[in-house]
Amino acid sequence: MSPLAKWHRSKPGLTERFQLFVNKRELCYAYTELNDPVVQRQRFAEQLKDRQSGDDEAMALDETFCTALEYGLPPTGGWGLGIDRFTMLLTDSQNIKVLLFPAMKPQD
Amino acid sequence: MSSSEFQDPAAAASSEAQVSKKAAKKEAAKLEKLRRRQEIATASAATANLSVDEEDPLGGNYGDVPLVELQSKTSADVGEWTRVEALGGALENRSVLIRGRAQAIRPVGKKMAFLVIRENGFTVQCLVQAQADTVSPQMVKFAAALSRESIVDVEGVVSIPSAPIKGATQQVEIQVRKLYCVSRAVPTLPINLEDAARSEVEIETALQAGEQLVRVNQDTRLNFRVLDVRTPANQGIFRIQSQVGNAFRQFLLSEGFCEIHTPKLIAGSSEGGAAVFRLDYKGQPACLAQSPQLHKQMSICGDFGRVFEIGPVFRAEDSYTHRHLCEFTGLDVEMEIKKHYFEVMDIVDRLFVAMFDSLNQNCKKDLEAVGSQYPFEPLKYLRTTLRLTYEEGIQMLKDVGVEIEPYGDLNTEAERKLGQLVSEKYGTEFYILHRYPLAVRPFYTMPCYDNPAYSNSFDVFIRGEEIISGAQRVHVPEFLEQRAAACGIDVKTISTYIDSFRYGAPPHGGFGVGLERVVMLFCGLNNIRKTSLFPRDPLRIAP
Repeated sequence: MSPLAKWHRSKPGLTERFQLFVNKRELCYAYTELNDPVVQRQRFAEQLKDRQSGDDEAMALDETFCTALEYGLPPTGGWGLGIDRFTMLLTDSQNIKVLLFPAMKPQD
Repeated sequence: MSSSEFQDPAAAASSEAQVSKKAAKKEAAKLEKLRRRQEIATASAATANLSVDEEDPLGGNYGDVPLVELQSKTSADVGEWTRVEALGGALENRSVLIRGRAQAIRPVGKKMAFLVIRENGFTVQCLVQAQADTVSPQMVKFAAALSRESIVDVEGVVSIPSAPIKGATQQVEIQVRKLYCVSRAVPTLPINLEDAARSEVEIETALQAGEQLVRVNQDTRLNFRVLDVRTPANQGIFRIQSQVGNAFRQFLLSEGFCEIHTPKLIAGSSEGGAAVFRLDYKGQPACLAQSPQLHKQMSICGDFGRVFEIGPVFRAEDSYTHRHLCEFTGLDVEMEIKKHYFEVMDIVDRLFVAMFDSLNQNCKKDLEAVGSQYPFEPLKYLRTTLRLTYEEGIQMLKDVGVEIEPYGDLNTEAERKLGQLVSEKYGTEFYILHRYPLAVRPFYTMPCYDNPAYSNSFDVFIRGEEIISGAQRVHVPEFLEQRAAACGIDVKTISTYIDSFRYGAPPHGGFGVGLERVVMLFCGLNNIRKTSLFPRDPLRIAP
């Protein structure tokens, strides 16, 4: 489910990842990044199988990324915050139209 | 461990049936490749373990760090670590713990090895010397067997050697007591950092002395970008670039501009060209924006007054020059005008003088790092930026025998030549050329009130190359339709843009800057790919 996240140290089937929720809304998504190229390729291979089974959210194999891991990657973590969602929170808005020019699905 | 171990057997069988034959074959080939790599990894791990397995009572002082120790096992307290940058004489005889890359590894016999450890560009020499009860010969062997660019933790005692240390930035040495490998790099790297960091001057000097040193070509660098960007010059380039973005943002905020974020998925091309990337957008034709032009103008119509954006720009041009990319970062500005388009040029003037001052003050180390590998003269600029009209520029070129067709655009050669002439005559390598012929400007450009063959527009140059195009915009919808039609634009594809001027539109103007070009030219570099972290040109979409 999270191909770039490192597996949990003690609980099989889980990865080390968290999400921050404020007022019932997800703001932030973060994980310990996998830095072992062998395991990363394995993980991508599994995703590929999932994709071929119809899981549209599965990530494609990124050979360049796996190669980069082979040149030494320190233990790494990070997070991404959607500034539009954060703006929704600050302005108590109920939908994502805090974007200046939101791309909406065509009317027809 | 594999998540497939916990899959329902029935579901697994079902999913296997769905995999097509061809895909199965492809996947099998990938898994075979994976198995082979795993085999090699296991073999080299076994080799490493072999040396560790010799009976060593001090075996706990070195080795590969097992994964479980790197899974956030201990609490988030980093106080025990010392940054390589902070290592100095004041820490003499103190025990320190550092983490960095093994940049150089030099065994001296069987009882001694030197390591140079690098963290954020700072380096320190570490000595692993066999000593009874403290450092075992097996530990020295482990140190010598590390691969370059591996990430290691080193614990040791700081000492001050009698002679200056030539191969490191820090003038202290660490007497290693513990050494652990956190992330092992492959033994043979595709490019050596020492080679990638070498200047042309060094290569030429060595050549004259009869020695052939390795030169790493630009394409090879880009193929292995994750290694290439570790060089001091590349670290410097992208920290300078970061500061350009920061100076841009801080200056404009201080002048009352609001930062906006506009869509890159748009319905039609905004610049009148055919060089757009086209895609299918949920059944509708769409393309990637060549600039945020139309949306930043719509933002002015939406009463933001003054706006700016830092974002990606896409140009599907088959340009293979040193200064073109298919995707680059645009620094875009748009603002209301009260009387004259010079109000926009005034912003350009103050913005860039402030930016150059900021770079010269805050990026000395980075500029030195770039200059060590790619020597350049500091940029010459005036406190008040020179402004020349297009006609004045053309005349300067004519005076030295360079002919430009009337109302024509300047090509790269002419721009470079004019840059030389301006530098000689006015002592500046940063200047503005304005009042371009209308025929060479985009459809939304405002013509001059006194001669409609010319326009209220400008370009800005650094070292004879363009970094900015700017202008006053047409804000009257009927006139805009006229101009669009005259330039061969399908008015229907930009109807939302034109309509935005029907609800009251202030006179306005703005400009767009290429971030990569600013850094390239400020540092006197010869290729824009050096200032793009992962460049996209007509031949490259990886890494």
